[in-house]
Amino acid sequence: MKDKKVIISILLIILIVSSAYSIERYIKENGTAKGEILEISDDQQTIAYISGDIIMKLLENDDLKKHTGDGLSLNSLLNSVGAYNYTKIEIKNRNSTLIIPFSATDFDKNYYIKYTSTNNMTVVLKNNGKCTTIENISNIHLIK
Amino acid sequence: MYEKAQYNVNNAYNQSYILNLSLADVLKSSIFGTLIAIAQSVLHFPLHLPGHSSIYWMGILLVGKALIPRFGSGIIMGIISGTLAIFFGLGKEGIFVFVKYFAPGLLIDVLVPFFGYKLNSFVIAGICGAFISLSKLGASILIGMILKVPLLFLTIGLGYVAFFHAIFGAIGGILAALIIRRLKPIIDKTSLSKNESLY
Repeated sequence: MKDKKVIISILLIILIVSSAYSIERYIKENGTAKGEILEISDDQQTIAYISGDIIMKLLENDDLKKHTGDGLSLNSLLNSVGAYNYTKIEIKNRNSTLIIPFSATDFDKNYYIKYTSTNNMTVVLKNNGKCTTIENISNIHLIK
Repeated sequence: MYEKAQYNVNNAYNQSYILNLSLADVLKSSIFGTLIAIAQSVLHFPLHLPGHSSIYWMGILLVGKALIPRFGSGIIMGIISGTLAIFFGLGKEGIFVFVKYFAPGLLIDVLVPFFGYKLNSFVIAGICGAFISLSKLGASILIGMILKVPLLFLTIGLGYVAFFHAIFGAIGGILAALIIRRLKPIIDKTSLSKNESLY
């Protein structure tokens, strides 16, 4: 009887730990697939995961949106995860990949990221009055 | 006359005071609760792994529960340590830190009777330690949800954190069993000889 309790308890602990792993994996994979979670990575590793509510929290800081007015500047986003010293970034969604070279002005004022419940993570690139949007982005890859 | 007065004091000391616990049990539980809060505030192991505080936190809880084997002692330890944690400013959860300290205390009261109070067994103490350590993690997640922390912050690395909480909780339990094995016979012997002299 006592052994049975011990075995059940050990199995329960294993189940709790493995469910924690599964929940984490599900949220990450499901979120990035839908464009609700953004993975920021470099050549070696994943630097951070950013979700829509984190973008909203970062946007609460007025200084961050003073340039773009609409979203979080790409520079602020990458600075907030401690990403620096890169020359290009690769923006990926399910269907396409766009590589843009680093430019201090553009990254600060013209390129920004916003989160809406309809378009999820969207990167907006403003160039000479024209706006290019990439919706449902799942990954920003930093190239050094 | 003196013996009668001593008997009355002892009787008052041992009668049910709160949650079926005597005043002596409540005081002993409070000491262990205080010990948890002080240990949390003073001890900082340079392990840099999540949940490493469970080694002494769950260890002290289990030793306390083994020495006061009655329902409610865990709850008292949880209340005292949680209240002190608020005043010591432990954690980043503010007043909600109480829940984090209370949850393991509550669970230990349910869990230990299930195993027949056999906390001197390394396996059972390890299992109890792992469970109550995981309950602490569960409480932390619950607090995060109450405080509307982004869900991603709560779930990233959850598997890793849960694994280490279980491991460190189990280590704390095993260490507690080691202490209980040494301590329990001495305390049992002392209380038996006291009772014999009084009655």
